[in-house]
Amino acid sequence: MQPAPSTATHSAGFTGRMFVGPVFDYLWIGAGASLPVLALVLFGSSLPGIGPLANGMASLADPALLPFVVLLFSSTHFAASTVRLYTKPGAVASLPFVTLVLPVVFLALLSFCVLVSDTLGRHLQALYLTWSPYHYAAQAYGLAVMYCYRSGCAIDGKSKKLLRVLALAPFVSVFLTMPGVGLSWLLPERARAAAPVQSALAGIAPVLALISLVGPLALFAAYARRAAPMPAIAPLLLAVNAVWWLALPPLQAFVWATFFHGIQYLAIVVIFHVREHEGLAGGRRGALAQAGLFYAGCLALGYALFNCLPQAYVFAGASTTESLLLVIAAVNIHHFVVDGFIWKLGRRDANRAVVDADAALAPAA
Amino acid sequence: MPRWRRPPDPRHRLNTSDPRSAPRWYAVLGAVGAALFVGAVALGFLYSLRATGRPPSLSIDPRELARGMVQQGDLEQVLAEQDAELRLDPGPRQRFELYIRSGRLLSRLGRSDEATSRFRRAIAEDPARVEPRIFLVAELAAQGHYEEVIPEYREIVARAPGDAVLQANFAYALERIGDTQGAMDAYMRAGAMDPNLPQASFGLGRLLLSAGRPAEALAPLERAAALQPELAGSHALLGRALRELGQNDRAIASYQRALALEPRLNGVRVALSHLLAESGRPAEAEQELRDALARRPSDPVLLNNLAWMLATDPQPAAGDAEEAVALAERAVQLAGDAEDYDTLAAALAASGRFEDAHRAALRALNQARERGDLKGAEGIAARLRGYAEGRRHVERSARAGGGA
Repeated sequence: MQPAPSTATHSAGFTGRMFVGPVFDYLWIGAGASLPVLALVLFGSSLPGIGPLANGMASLADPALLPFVVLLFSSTHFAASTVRLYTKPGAVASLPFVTLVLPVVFLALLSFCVLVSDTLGRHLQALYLTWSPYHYAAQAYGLAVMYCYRSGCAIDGKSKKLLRVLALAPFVSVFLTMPGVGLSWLLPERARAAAPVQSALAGIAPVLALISLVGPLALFAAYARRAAPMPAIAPLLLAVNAVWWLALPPLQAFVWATFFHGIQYLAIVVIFHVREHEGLAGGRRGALAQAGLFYAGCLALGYALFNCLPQAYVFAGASTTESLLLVIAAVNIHHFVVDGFIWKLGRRDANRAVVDADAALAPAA
Repeated sequence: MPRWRRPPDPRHRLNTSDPRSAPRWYAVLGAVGAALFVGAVALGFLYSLRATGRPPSLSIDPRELARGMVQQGDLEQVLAEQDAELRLDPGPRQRFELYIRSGRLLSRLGRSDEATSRFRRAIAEDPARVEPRIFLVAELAAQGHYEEVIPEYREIVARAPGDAVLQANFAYALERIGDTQGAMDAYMRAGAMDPNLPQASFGLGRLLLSAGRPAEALAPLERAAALQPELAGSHALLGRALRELGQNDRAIASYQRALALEPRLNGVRVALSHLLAESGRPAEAEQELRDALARRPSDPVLLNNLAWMLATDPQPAAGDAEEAVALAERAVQLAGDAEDYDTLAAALAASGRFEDAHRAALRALNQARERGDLKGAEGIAARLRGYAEGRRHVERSARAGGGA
């Protein structure tokens, strides 16, 4: 998401101005719910009394349940950017390349990668895995700035840059240290294995982790005495993203980050869709019906993208694994690109109308 | 929090730019892209329906899909899928797991060399982990490459020094390459790590017994039988140790327990029969042999032993001699060893055919001498002299033809 210009004037205190309400926004859009869940998954099974609850949470990643969890939250979230792209008022007209040409480009690119998977496949896969933590960090930053703006917290350009650096710190850490992505993809193994590189990476990782977790809190504290303080959800968004990527083992990080990022994304995208269409529908459909329709579209497209499309490549002679993994990679990258366009908050954008309307009209929470 | 309702916002339309500004071919490409996408999705859906009878699976985890293929027995396809995943150059952890999983599949497919190669790659990927080394040694052991197994096992036990099972497996590998002392030491180490590990006691007892030290073997074998009362082999080996120590009644009880658990142990049945006959219970001895023969009617050892028992019985029943001849002739047909001719000679003598008995005994004597069995030859020669004098051979026990 792109940052919003800080022009709003209403202050909403430390809680900030919410889209739905403090509990919903902090738990699901701020992804605060992920912290106790991950704590339960990681440490809960050994704690007396809460073992069953912890095991229940961990069972979300069980093979029997995972496909449903993935479809309902993860696949649907990736599909949501495409559904939003084509349902956002005026998007086809204002983004003709993204809406009309980009899908063909991606289909062609995906097909070519499946065709020459021996050489290109692994690079497509590595690109998606490298881009993912950046995308999540950028979303955390975008949401944090949006909440500051909505809450009347006038963060200056310098603070915004600092907030962006803090948001991207987990990505930089993952880029530098996670096996198979980022540096380990781009840099030859011999160069990576060099002692100075190894010691530099070993030294920088804890520093970045510290910056990722403490930095947002420090910025929050710096703004606390101002008339319009930074809403607490802003540092929460950044810290939670840092916990996902830096506290969990790499594979778990991808699973849980994708899960909670998906919920976060679905929550905000449904809110924007409903608010945009409330006005356009002229009361023909209620907010719940709008949200339900939007989600149903995402669900159907998610199933089509991740479950049906790979089978077409299998039919064409590719292996199931390559088809599946390369479709996942291509859909992810398409999602990252599309997000760069559909969440812009420029003066002429429909997003701006949603944010501005709330900021201007809503009373302090 | 106060509730509020926002009125429709006219600024929704601020973002609209002139659609005519986009080139016309954009729209054409958009239509082509949409058609291609819808077509591909429909194709994928229909293909899955045709291939599996179901809509596309909800799972997008290659490992889950591979599990389904394994259940259908399509191992070659699973292997192809794992190779495809490896081609995509996954991270080191997934690569490690893929090498192990594909190695195990190759092993199941009987492609041992490729399996060992995968396990070696997994070891190279993460030398600290013992799992691939365990799979590697299992594969090498299955191929009989025990010389290669030993250095791998040394690594394994060095990396998992407290693991009694691994130590016992290492001992077995040492046993297989003939390092008896090394194997005994390793079994003892395993037993010290886990006194309740049956393999350690059983292996140590077996080795001591084979080394002719039944008195030392007795305690570990008793322990193994107590720890694994359901394992026939433990009782059988204990029975053998007790027999060698002259504790016939206990040995008989152990053999009987072993046979109750695993009735197909014919060697144990022959040994039991021998012990019963030695203990003055010939009827039971004969019955054991008949039971065994009923299960394996073409076993030359069983045929020989029953024939010998019938032929050399001090008080034969009517028809015993003829049955003994028939049994001995079948044993000769099936194996034709010195013992079989010797038994045939005894049976022929019992039926009063001393000339035929003499010829058979001579053949037995020659065979025994040819193979250097001087003690056996001595016994046959003594019996041969008896046949020449028109005397049948009489004994109280069955021939020791088998053993536990």
